[in-house]
Amino acid sequence: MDNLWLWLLGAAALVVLGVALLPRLSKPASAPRKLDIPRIEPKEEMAEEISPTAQPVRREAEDLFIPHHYGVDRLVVLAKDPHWLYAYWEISSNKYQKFVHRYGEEAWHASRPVLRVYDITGLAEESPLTAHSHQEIFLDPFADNWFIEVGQPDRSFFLELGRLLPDGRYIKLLTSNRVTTPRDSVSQRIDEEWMWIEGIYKMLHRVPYGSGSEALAGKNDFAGAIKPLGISSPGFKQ
Amino acid sequence: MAKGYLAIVLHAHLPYVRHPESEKILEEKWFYEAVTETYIPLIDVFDRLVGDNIPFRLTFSISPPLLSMMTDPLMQQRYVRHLEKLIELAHKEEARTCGGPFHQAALMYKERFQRAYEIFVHRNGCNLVQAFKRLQNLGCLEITTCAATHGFLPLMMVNRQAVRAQIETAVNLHQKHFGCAPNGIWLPECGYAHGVDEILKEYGLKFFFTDNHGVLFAYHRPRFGVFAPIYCPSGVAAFGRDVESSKQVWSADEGYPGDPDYREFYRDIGYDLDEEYIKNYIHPDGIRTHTGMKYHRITGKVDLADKQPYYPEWARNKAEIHAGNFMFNREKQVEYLSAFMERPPIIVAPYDAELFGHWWFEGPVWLDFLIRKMATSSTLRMVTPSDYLKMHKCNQMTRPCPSTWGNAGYNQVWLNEKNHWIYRHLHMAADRMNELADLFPRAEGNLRRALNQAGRELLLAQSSDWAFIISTGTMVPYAVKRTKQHIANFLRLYDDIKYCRIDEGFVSYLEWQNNIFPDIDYRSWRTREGQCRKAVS
Repeated sequence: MDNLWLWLLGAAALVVLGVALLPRLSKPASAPRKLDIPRIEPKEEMAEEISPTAQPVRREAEDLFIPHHYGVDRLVVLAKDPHWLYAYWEISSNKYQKFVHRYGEEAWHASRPVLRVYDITGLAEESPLTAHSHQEIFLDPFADNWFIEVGQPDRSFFLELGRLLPDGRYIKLLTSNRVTTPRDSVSQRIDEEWMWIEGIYKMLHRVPYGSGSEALAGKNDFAGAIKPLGISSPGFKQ
Repeated sequence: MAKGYLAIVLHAHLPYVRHPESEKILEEKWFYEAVTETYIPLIDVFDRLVGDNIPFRLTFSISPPLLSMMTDPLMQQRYVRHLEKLIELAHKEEARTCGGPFHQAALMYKERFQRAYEIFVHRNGCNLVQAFKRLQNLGCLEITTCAATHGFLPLMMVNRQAVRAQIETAVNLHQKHFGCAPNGIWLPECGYAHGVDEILKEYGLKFFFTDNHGVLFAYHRPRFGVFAPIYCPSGVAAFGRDVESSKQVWSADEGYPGDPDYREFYRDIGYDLDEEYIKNYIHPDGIRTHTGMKYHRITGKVDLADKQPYYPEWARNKAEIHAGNFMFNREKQVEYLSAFMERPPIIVAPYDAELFGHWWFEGPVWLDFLIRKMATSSTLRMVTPSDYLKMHKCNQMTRPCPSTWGNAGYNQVWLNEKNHWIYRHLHMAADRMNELADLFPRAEGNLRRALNQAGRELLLAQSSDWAFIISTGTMVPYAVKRTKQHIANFLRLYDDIKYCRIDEGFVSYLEWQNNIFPDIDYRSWRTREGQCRKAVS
């Protein structure tokens, strides 16, 4: 009799254990289904053969590293709003070496990085030296980007990054692209020009795409009609 | 003849959040939620209007990432599963709320989800693009495209090839799915910069939209303000957003969506109910998420805990009143404006499509009422930009003002102290892609696959959503990770291609992971003939 009780007790314990374990046991059965993605370890390559599509290998998290510098000399300026510009830059070791070669390492450390902002509104691309004005910003020695308050909507700028030597000499290192701040008010130019869309399409048809502004400028009133840059735009002929 | 035109523009976009590696990625749910709450209800509204013979013209912009997800079999399958679970939950909820104040709302959800299933699975074969295409062919919708991955063009213009690739890829995908080239484009974030229009012109695009000041602050003062489009010197038309009609719908305080009878977005049973009960319908790790079943109305400026029950019928009545009010205001606006203009003014009212249904639950019903009312108006006529340009071919020519529809109106949202770091990488990657495309004018085989994938990675990194999310401060780690991941993928592909050591396994992996744009052509980045590459610096 004692034995029977023991047996019953044992059986009950097994049933309880079984019930408790069942959900846990059933889980791993469903888990491998998620393996349609490549967390597969080398020993389980069989799984790959079963699935017909080529299952690529998952890469390591370390791939998320992206370099801060690309070893390229560049100074890029963007307009943030009518009053602010943003610039970022990178000076390659080549550029640095050249500077050191010419002026000495001392000069690099003794000089200060400066950003020059040239106002070139309305000037042709080839004549940056005639800039209306420039502003000089002293930079933090380790900065590689800067928000610049120009406070002038609807003006065009380009930047130069250089170093100012203790004796006042300025050494230019990088030149930026050109940028124009957007307008922040209604225009005062109240002359108007109207365009029939067929007209312009017919005309544009004759202009090969990608022809530079110089090519267009050679074609007198043609350029005037397409690019009304002047304050008093000529009437649209055609 | 109508005294004025109303052009309603809905811009539908979501970033590419397809994650084949796991069903547990929270961000993928953005797509499912928007399908249930916005795209299907809108299609339903349009289909019913067609069924009732109500004529309407609406502009609908579908971004290429959204188009790609809608047509992706994996996303379709997963969505059906998602919807089945929702229906299951709605059945449980029907029983649970029986006799209580939430029962009406629970019943409404059950019917909506079942209807969504019917529309998604049975009517459109799991591909909602079919529905949009049908509505396009019926002459109800004018579907415009958007940049390939919603790249923010004003800050991409330092490399025009990058902008060209965004446009070219988008136009090709649009043509593939809708059977015709798009006439117009929704510039991502309404971001316009000088020169963008010239690139649009190269791809046959005839119009785009700007925010109000994009047209109003044009180089020459526009004679009709934003109530007529302007032509850029390239001949591409720019339509400016009307402020008044925007504010009535957008504004959180004075706008319609804030009405006390409308549904409260932030009370969701995914957060409110016992974990034991709801755990199968939220994130598998127990993270609380929206289920889409929300039983409270906005009530007023009270705590979330004090929100009152939602009654669908009340909300519906309000939507009708608001639609009437919107039309009344537009009619007054048009009557006022036409006194100053020798042609009918056009009021351009663009909205994020996801505002309708997802944020503003009653948005689609409101739109339904509005369109039905408009059909009887003698003052107003619904048009699309193409309709307008066909009727009014002569327009003032000037240059639009660079602008966006982001906070403060310029590039601040996508370029500030939080997210500025991405541009040094995006620009470098674009330059390198341009370099690769020029280096290999006729690649084949694995080289071609690698080049195309490099293009995909670059496009995905350029998505304006990442900069936006980093700037606004919610879900930042995801946006940072996506930006870095695509840049890292691109850089590795670049090195592999350049140094002739293409790892086919890696390329296959990326093709599987980031499969957007199956027909992408890396040559979209090549330097165009007659243009020389301009090195910055």
